[in-house]
Amino acid sequence: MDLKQIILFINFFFLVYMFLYAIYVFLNTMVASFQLDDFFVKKSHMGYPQLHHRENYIPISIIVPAYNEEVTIISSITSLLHLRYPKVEIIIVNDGSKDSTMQKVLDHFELKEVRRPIHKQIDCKEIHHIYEGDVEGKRIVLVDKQNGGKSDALNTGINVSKYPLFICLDADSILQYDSLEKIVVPFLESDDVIAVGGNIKVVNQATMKDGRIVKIDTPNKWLVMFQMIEYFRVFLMSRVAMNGLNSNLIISGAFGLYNKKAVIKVGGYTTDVMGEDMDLIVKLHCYYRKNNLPYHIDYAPDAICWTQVPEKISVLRSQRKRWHIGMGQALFSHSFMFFRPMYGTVGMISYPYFVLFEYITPLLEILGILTVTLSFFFHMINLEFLIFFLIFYMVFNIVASWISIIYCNYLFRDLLSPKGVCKLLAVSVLECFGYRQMCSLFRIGAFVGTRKGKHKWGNMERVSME
Amino acid sequence: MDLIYFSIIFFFVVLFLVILYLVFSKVKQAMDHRRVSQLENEMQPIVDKYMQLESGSIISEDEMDNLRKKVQAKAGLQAFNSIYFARVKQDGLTEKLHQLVTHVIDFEMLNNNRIVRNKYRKSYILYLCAEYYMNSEEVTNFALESLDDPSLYVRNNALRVLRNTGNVDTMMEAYRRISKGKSYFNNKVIVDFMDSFCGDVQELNKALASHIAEFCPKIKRGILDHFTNRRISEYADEMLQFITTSSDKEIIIAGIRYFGVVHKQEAYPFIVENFKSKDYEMRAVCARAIGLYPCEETITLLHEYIKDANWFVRYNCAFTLFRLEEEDIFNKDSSIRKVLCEKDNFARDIMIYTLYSKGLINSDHDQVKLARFQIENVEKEERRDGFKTNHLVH
Repeated sequence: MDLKQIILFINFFFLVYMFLYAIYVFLNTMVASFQLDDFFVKKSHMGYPQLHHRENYIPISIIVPAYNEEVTIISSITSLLHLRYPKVEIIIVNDGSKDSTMQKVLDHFELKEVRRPIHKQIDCKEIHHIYEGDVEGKRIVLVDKQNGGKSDALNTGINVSKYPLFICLDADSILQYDSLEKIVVPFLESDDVIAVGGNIKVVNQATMKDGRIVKIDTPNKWLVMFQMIEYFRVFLMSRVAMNGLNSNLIISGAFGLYNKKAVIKVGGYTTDVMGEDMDLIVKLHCYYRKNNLPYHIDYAPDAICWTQVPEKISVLRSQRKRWHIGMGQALFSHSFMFFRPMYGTVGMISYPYFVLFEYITPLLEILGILTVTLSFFFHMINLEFLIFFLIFYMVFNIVASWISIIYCNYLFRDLLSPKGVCKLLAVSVLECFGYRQMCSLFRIGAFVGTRKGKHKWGNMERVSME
Repeated sequence: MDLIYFSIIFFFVVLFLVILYLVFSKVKQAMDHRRVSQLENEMQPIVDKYMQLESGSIISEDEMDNLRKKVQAKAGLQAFNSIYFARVKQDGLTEKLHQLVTHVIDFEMLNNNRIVRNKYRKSYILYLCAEYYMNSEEVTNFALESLDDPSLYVRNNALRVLRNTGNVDTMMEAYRRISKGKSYFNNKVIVDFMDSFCGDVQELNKALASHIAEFCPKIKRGILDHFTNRRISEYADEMLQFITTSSDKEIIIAGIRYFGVVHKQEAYPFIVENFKSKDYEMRAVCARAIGLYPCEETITLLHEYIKDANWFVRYNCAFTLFRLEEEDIFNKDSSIRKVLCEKDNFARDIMIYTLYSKGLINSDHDQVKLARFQIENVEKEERRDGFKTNHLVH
């Protein structure tokens, strides 16, 4: 076997790899399309909105871990006060912020310190003070604790919470006024539901008033637009398709609803990982499948949470690196699930998919492009193959993005203007030329940057939306 | 290689077809919407005219026929729905409006309409039957049969139809069917439909109370929750007799909750007995319910169980004690005071938290207020450095 044959073999391997990925994207898109279409038809007459008597709703604790969130924390809590849901408590966990996050909350909502014993069911760091107050008929609790990272803050929130369901919500996120009553629906449809993920949308160009989104413009910044398209692709296609198999491995940390008992059973959030959201879901899958317990992890595409995305490349780089490290940690700590039939669709489909097509993809993507291009320059492959390879790689991603954008417009009619849709369709073509490769490079950074025990909060520059 | 080429071309074709379908759907939606709006404009004057009249007889038969004919079509039905829902939102469901619906819409017509795809037709027909408060025998039977349907949406909409018929016998039959069947109904859905029954609620309550034993545990619990929500005391005797003979934990908990809202002295021994249960949920619910029966024994029990190993039991005991002694909280013989002087930190802490959350203590006057209770065991460093939390690890 000479060098030329080896190179050709590598090229062919990449082509087959991409072909398999294409099969996945294709099936994913098809399944998600039918499921979404079905979901929204079903929603139009399922009758839950007509249930006027609301005293029987399941009460929900909203846990908001906060670290240096002085810019957005007040508008975020204000939006929670405007939520259309009969019974909630809002728990803000101040994870040793170095800015005025805590003081702002105390002053704005006039919370009073209380001496409250905690029902500690999950290990968490020391609590310094607890403040409480009733605002607009909703109980707000502020927990001031020693810095321990987001997972530890969430575990503290779980210990402090009183209700059987809890939502974890990023402090920079804004929940749509009806998102709670939508995300809780799967819990009303089956007693086996243990977690439900919500749909995350980009809010960088939104204007807020009284805790509500009043206007959304299509962003002008390239970086924000690229991420917007990415979010459409992930939250409207990938999650929906996996949901059909009860094998979603991620519920975004920005917005998810959980059964508290189930989370306590698996020991809460793992504190020495970066991707605590994915790690928790993998743990839940593992626990319930291992013990042969009936369960369902669901996804509610119409429960919308608005979140800010990075507008600077440096912030995006650290975010993507963090996400990828988190994914790696969650996957490797459960490596025994890989292709194990006892874990059902999780072990046989979604876990292998995440390992083969999410985790190592950035590495293969960059290597593939480099190898094929170099092979061409060294006359090892012909121009036809190179063009075919690149077109295949680009067009497939473009088509997937287009479907997501069109679907988003189809399902959420008032979200994007026709002009905005056209703009995003055009931008999605450019996304394949630079942005995707850049993100892949950022994610490759995760392979050299994994360190156990790091519980850093991400550095995300916040912009006030008021 | 050829296979790969072929497959890729096939993928692209299919994916572009999906895009085309979406675009086409969008265009079709817009066209349908225009058509519906146009029909709405045509129907609105007829509906308005009918609603303004003392009796519908002045509306010509031709106009009514015209309206009926329009509603037969998919777009026409959508237009009529839109007008109807707007009216209901504006004035509620008036007798006149219901009369108009009975003139224009019947079950057979809904059944023949292709307003949604086949998969959801049954659910949607039931949804509309419920919205239009249709209560013919045909509709009722259809809804009753649908209670066993594999689709949750069909089942829930069927229950809505039966609730809206306002017929007690029909509702009872529905609960019997649900009890016999194995289909899932969420507890909230069951209780909601009892709470919002559209007929004679007192008649329904009477029927539920006298037939409670016939139903499955889920419906039994639903009845107790419904009586609790509505504070229905007429059937307290029957409920007491029922829960004292039941061995189902969920039913006993629902029953205790009921007697925590509806006072029935004869239920007191039952609550006391369950307060000593090994199950913490039972103890916790008793700690809340017993507050309705103030007496020395109650105070003694609360005082004892505020030292319980379970956090929820202690929490409920503390709040109930506060509720019972709110009037003479600073009395030297008050139980709250006794708890605050206890050596049991768990009991003391939960009591102090109760006083905080009721505004009797605040952080600014912490020491002053606590001094009024003459608490001896509060460590100085706790007050200086914040407080230590107690943790129960089960």
